[in-house]
Amino acid sequence: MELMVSGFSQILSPLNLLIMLVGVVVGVVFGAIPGLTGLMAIGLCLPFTFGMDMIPSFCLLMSLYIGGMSGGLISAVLINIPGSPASVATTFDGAPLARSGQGGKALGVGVFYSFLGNVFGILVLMFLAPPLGALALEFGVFEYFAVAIFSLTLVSALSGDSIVKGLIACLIGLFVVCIGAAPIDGFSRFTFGFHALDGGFEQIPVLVGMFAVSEILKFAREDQHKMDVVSQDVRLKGLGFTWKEFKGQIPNALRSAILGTFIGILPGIGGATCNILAYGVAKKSSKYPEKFGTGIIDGIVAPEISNNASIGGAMVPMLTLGIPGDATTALLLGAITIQGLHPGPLFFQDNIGFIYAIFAAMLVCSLLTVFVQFFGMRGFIRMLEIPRNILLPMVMVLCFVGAFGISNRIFDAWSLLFFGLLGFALSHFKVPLTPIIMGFVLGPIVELYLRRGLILAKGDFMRFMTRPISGTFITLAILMVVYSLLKPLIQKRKNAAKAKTAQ
Amino acid sequence: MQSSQTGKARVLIRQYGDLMLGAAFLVFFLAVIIFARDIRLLLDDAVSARFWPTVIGVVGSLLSVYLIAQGYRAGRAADAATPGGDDAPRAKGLENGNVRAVVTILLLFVYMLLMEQVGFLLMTILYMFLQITILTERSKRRHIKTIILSVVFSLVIYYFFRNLLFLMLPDGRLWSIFGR
Repeated sequence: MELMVSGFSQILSPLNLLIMLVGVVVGVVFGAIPGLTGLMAIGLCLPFTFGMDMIPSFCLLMSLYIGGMSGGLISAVLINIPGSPASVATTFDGAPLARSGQGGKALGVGVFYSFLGNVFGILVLMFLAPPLGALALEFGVFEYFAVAIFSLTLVSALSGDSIVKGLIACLIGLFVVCIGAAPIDGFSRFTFGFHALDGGFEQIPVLVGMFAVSEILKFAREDQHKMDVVSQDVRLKGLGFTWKEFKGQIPNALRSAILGTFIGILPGIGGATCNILAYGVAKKSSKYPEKFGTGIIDGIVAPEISNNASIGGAMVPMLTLGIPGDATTALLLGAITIQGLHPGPLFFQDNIGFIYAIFAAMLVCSLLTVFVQFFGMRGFIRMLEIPRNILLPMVMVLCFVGAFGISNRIFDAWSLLFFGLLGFALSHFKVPLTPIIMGFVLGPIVELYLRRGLILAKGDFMRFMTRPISGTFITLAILMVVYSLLKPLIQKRKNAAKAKTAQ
Repeated sequence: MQSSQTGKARVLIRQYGDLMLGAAFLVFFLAVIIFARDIRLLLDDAVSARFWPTVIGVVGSLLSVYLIAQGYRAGRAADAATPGGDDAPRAKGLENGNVRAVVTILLLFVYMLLMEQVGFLLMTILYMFLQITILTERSKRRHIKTIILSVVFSLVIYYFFRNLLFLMLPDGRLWSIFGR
């Protein structure tokens, strides 16, 4: 408790509060605009922190991280384009709810549960960081591979109508990430002598291209009379949902928050994975799974609480082990190192004051994010009134700037366009895009750990099956594929049997 | 006669879409297996840099064959249900969604292609104006308003990223004509 009070006293100066407020606003804007992410906001603002003291610089970075993660829901709800990869699943129910004239409610639910997710993740980080860090350390290559394969199978089975298309989409994502230098030995693969491909494709152009550019092309193809944006009911009562609805969401929220925090703790898997997983699990365990995708709040609560809870989770291995939980924490790790600190097992002991200042800053930023989004909500709802024929070209330009800004090369802008066209073509044939993204994000982990595991086991794949955690996850993945493939056959037989008894 | 033929082709693509998609995927994954053989190796080890792409290629090919079979069955079933062609009238020019999508793709290509030569500012103004015009119904187009919007938006974005976030957006080589 004393440590927490000391943490707050370190950060609660007018200058730090101003820095956090600006950071949250910038983070939310970057998170909300497709093509710009919280990660990019941190990347662009990192040079500003070099000249700052440790505490203010971390106030800025944490506010960008938390604001960016929360902002993604705004465009996911209002224009059906996830503002960042962490809010992909928010579009599934957020956008239909907004389309039915309840954009305010969708945003209210998203903002509130994002806040709860933040607080949950931070509390877990504060109280369980040391033991959880030890648990994550227990995970070896076999477990990492199994969890990644399980996540990929789950996403392939859940998105779209056909698991075959889902799995093929996932394999395309896994292949795309093979382009460039191979892990372990570093030889270039599938570059065909084109040196710009040596480093592989950047994550942001691939993600943004798939979702934003293909959205513009889909819009261009739509009938002109469908263009008008639905008028929004901007009369808000509180956060837009009732006490009864809140109570009904407690099990879903708690499950998703725990899932988000746990996924966040696993290195390499963060908000981009857990929002889709939490949505999938919420749908599977719901009493009314058929209503998912039609605009119910369960489908907003699950991804939004889990992606924000993953922030606290991702900070656990970063602060205790020096292993980043996701790409954003990898950047934060770089920032800590620049300040002369080296996160690792001894970091907690030696810098306990600084650690609690980070916790306090995270809590204050979460609160500021709610205020910024709540008071800015009417403005965000108004964003829907900007006709999409004007908004989408603007988004396209920002996507270009975002892609170009990663490393100042036009190649990344070209890959944005390429993946946009690919996404447009594939979605025309009803191939789901989410498994491609998941394959792309998890691809490096899957290959690295599979190869390492096989080298360790001298080529014997059974080692993946005989270890309890990895064996369970791989068996679950196999069962899921077999069940999804057999389901239509079982259904057909059932229908035939029904028809027979009816006769 | 010609319209009836395109109508039939449209129906064929719709009914046998999965079969064609499966065939395209099969070609792609077979190519992955073939090109994976060209990857250089550090050691002649089974678990090399070739291993994972080959696994992707093999599993992908098997799934593609499954998709082809599924697509063939679905196509045959649809054949039996709806014989004949789709002769629904299609709009001409930019009023046709497919034409709008193709023109948008071409516009994006030109935008990226000329970016480094012409520069971000000028190219973005041009892109914004043309893209908004393409996406707006003919009767709702307001050219002066679109020009003002394109110029103001492009200038704001350019100034913000260039001067506040120090992002080196392409200046273009056109300015060199004026001795800059």
